Amino acid sequence: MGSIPFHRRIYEYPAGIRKNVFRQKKANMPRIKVISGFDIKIDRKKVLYRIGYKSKDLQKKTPLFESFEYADRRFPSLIYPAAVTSLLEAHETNGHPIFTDAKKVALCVCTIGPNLESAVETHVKNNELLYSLVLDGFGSEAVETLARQCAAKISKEAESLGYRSSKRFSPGYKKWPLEQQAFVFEKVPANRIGVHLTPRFMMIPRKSISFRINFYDS
Amino acid sequence: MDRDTLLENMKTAVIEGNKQQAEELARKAVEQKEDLLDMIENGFVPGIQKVGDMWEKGDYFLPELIASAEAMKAAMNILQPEMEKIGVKARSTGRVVIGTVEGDIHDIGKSLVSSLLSANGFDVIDLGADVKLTLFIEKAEEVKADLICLSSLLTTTMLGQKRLLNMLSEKNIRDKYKILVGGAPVTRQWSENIGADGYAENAMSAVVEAKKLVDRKG
Repeated sequence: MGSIPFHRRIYEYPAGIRKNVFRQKKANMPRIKVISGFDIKIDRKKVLYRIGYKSKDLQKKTPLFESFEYADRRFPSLIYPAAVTSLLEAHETNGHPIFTDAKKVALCVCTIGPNLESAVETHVKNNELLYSLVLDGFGSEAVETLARQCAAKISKEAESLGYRSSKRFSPGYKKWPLEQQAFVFEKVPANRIGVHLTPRFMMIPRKSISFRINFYDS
Repeated sequence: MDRDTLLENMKTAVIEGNKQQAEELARKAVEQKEDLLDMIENGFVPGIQKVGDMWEKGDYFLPELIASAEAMKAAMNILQPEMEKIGVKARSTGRVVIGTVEGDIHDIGKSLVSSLLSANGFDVIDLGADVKLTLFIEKAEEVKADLICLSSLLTTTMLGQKRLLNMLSEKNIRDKYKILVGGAPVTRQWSENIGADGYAENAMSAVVEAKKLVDRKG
């Protein structure tokens, strides 16, 4: 992996994940798991809301409508949704108060890959800001949808193990500071899906989400 | 096409975010040897002002602002070189150095602000993303900027905004520039705490605030 240029890594790995490789130990729920096979559908209304278009419908034959049509066409070929999860026992957490009373903690990093944001950057450079805004909105909505699907899978597995799961929380929100990204990335091999962390705790590709779900006794 | 019709159509093209139409009208004005400064100040500028009013009333949202800014910019790209040929310069609202602070590679929000400032008559020097704090100062000094706009999308990088203000004070040049801060984690409280001159919650409010700050600078 180290010798593969970053922008190509995402292409290198789907063959592996289809086989559901990389299990550290056999258990009801593997400690580390790479997930693929997501079906990401985009709700235009949610994208509209995301880009600040709060109360109006999309009018046809407007520059915005054309940008949506364009994004709709391009978006499917620009995303490679994938996720990696790590299931920790309570004693394996770093003792942060947000883990109090959790019996297990699932950490997850998911991404749609780097290609969509590269396309957005190209539009910004070409001064096509409306295209970039809408395409970026599609990307944000796609990665949120992906995170929702991952969280649903994790919650389902928690239930199958007899636990009650919390909502998903990301570093930087509520009482879990952004610096906790370091802990997430220490425990989750996010490089398996081409995601890495900058020294200021920003994820690359940017269209990535990391989160935790605590498992409690039912 | 007579002058009044031309001006009215220019205004409409900007309001509707019709880039193609704005370009055609700008070319028409050049062909007809119209007073180009008159075309800008009484055709395109009232259009962008109307767009700002519509945003304030809640009739327009960010995508429409962007479409209008793009139309305005497209027209200016045709008119400005023609004006330079005859030694005429469009009136500048103020000179702005803008960028996303170091450690932060978020670009699109800052680019939207940059584009809206430009469409509203500011001379904009966009330094891009992940900009070294020293570069903001060097560039502001070089171009004699009125305003420095600092964008940060992370709680870890917004500290860079504070550091830049400290650096300006250490160099005894703090009073030379108005400082406007923005970005997802940035709040009015934060801007006041670090001693910034203004805070923008979103792209269009950045334009409104920038105008106020430049007026205050005199």
